[in-house]
Amino acid sequence: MTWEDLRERFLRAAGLFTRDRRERELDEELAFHLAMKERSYVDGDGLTQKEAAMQAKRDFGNVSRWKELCRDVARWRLIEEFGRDLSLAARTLRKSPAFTLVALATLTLAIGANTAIFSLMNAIVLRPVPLPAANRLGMLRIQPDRFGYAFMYPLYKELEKQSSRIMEVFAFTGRDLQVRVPDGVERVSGQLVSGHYFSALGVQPTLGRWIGPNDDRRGAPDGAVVVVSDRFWRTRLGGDPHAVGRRLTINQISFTVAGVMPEGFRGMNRDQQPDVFVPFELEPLMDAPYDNISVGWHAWWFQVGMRLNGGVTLQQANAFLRAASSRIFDASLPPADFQFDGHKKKDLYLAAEPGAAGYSYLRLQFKKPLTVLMALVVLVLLIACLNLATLLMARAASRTREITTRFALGASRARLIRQLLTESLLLAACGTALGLLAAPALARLMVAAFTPRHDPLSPILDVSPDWTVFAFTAGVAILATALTGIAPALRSTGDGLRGSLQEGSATLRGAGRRKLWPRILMTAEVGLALVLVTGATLLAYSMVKLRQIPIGFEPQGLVYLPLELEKQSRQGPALTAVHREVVEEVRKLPGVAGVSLSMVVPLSGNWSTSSADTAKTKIDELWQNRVGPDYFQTMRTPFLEGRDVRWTDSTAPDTVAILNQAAAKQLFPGEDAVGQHFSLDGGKSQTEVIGVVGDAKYSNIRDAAPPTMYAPVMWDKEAKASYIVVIRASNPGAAQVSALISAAQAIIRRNVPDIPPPAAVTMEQTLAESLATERMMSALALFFGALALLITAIGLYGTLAYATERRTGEIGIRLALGAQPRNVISLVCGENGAIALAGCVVGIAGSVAASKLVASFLYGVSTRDPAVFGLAALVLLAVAAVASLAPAIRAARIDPLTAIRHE
Amino acid sequence: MGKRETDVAPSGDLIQGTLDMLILKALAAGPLHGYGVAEWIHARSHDVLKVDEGALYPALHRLDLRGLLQAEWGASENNRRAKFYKLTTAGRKHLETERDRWSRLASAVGFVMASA
Repeated sequence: MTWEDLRERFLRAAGLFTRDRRERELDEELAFHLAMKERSYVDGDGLTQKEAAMQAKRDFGNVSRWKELCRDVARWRLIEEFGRDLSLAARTLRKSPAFTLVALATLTLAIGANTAIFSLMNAIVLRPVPLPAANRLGMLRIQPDRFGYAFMYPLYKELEKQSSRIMEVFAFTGRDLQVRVPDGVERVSGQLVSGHYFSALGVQPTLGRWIGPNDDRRGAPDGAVVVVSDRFWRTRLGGDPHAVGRRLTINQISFTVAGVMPEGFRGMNRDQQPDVFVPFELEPLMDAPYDNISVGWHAWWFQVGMRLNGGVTLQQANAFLRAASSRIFDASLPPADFQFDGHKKKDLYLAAEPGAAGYSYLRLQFKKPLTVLMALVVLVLLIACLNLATLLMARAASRTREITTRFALGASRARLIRQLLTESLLLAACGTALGLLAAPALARLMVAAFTPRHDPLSPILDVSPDWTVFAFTAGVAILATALTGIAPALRSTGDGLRGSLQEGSATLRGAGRRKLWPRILMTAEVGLALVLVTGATLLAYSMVKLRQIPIGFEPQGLVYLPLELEKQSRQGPALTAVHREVVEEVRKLPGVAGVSLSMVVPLSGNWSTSSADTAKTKIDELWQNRVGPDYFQTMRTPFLEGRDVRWTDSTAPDTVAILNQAAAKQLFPGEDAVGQHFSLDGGKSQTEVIGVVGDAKYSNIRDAAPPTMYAPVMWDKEAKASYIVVIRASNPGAAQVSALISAAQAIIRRNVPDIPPPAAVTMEQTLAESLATERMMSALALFFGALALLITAIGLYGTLAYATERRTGEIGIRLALGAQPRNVISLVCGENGAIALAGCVVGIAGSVAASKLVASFLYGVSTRDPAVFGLAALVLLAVAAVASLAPAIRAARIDPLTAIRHE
Repeated sequence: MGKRETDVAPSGDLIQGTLDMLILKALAAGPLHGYGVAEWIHARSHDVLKVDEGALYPALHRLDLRGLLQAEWGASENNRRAKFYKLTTAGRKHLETERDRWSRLASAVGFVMASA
């Protein structure tokens, strides 16, 4: 680009924000033209003044269109100039590759992380379910909020009866179903849905019809019908256009296919992708031998949604529910003294909330952790932006000459600010584009942590970006541009022409107004980084504490294989024999250090309790497990006294049991428990204690080991009790464990061919899953904390390096006058030292305020833990020291002669 | 009216590049205001080309923004304030290349039309 070009551009640019003047000039030019034309008509053609004026106007035609054409030219200039600014910015950035690389890397990571977390937020919290008029849908729940979204059958029936004028209510719940296929039995994701489910959701089937109120009862006119998904229809029914009417055997019940739903239909539960929809009232057939419907108000087992009737608002629906609640609860919840978690029956009422986002268990579980993570990544973004702003400012300081030259050539301040902002915009745009590329991988990584089980029936989380995500990211990019660009652009153009005149003396004066802004920004950056580091340290420390909790057994090498025997024909002692046969065969496999049976997988979240009492003592919640012989040896839980259960123990219920230490101490304080008796659930039979074992965690690793009773598997009251085969591998290596799993699965398939092959789960997986949220949060927080430290270090280093370079002359003079290198080092480092200390003070104050956000995720750590705060501050100060030392040492090595010549 | 209608070439028939070239040529001799440019082209084309105002001014502004012209306010021959356009160095160069291009094009079209 030649100097002429530059000059042209800046002269033309000077007129950019003077639109009024341009309009006036346009008018004047037009008036002049008309006047000249008039004169030529008068002088040349002899028209009168009036005729001439009219003719001139007529020649000209539509004036406003003419003006518009001229304005278009000016608008086009804006675009053209933007293009040139962009190419200039690109060239400038290419000239300082180190700066550009750092800027892009930090922005990419920050924007990528923000986009990833936001797309999770979007998928779990924001995105509406793909159903027609989803904003008319609602979810019902019981207030005060102690029940989640769970309902019981009589309550739902009563609600359905009383609310039809206001809304169409529907019930639904997920079920794993066993569908008979030509080569055995397969597990598919199913959904029990009431008769109004489909009509309320409003999606038409592609084939046949949906399940209606007439299908939703025992002995329906058309028999038992199901609606299947498009996926099921394609894969299992071969895409048969005459699939309606075909028979399917599900959970050993024969069904008729009534309809096929369109592709992508997932229903109201957004975590699931059901393949088979079964009428709700057939639950007893599906859950056999259990029956939640006839259990009535004791079983809270499904969710209720609704669609508002035409013209009814959510407020009106809630007003109705509030008023009708006492009637509904009185009719459906018989015990007058019903109480749950401190709330009496008369306190309970039904409430409706917006259901456009569907029902999601994941949302209930992960909304809070995601909110915390979102706050963390916003902090990272702020730090990255502040960092770029300070670096740009430092760089602008070394570009003073260039900027002053442009002022001298006549560029307006607005024009220069626009030029400088284009540079930040280019950085932000590139960072955003790269961040968008990086985001899906990061989001998928987190999804894996949220829904860890590799199981076709585990929750589904679709984090593919949509317009909401793109809009969010665009917003982030604009914010990043503004945050990084505006302050430096204002600062570096603020002095106008004086800039270069003062430049020489400003370096000598050292501190001053010019340095105030970068310092404030750096201090803020250090403060924010400390907040992040403190948060990360708190979460990581809590994770360490969780990891150190003694759990009462050895998790490495434990494998669980649940047998699902409810849907096959054998029962009672024959079934016990099946279990025993499997255990005996597995025991003979090579690499098996122990094998037994158990009713629950510890720490999986499943549980069962009973009350227990003796003449003197009582335990309200005695946690239950049923175990086979050798269970404690397999688990490596210490056996303290008495004997183990045996296959030869009595099959009569409530005869013998093993207690853990906690239960033994509570039931028989100060006595030897072995040989004593107690009764269960207020029953008459006396259970004898045959042994006492060490305490082990039961359902949740955070809770203390509860008082627990282990009864032999032989005396189960259920006819078709199913147990879990527990195996301890003598070598816990992944290859050995998976070989063992395949061998055990083969044994099970041979012994019980009429059940789906059991999915194996290891204790280490279960343990990891039970801490998945905490682990993911602490890992991400550590990552973001480290990122913040790195960014801050780059910022401290960069600004100091620039500043020191500008002070080369001054330092040279100092050295020439006899200053020692260490004086120079302390002089240079002092700048950053002050910033780091001020930042720490700000950061500690911020951390105290922000730590409340993570308080509910901490285990065994106080949000005010001075050790954590001290450690975080120390780490930050150490990083600041390292980042500052390099420029300082370089400054101390300056050769005075060269330095003074440089000036 | 009607007196000046002889051989009017509506601006739409003038290829835009050609109008730009004619404007640059008009200004090659010295600065002119918009009206002057139109008059000059009209006169030099022996009254064949009449430049439409609706196209002239946008073209002038565009050439100005491209840096081929430079606009300045000055006094007109009848002492009114008028916007004068002056050729820049870049404009002069542009005119040269356009002139070459045009003569090549014109002779090429001539050959085609002259052939049997």
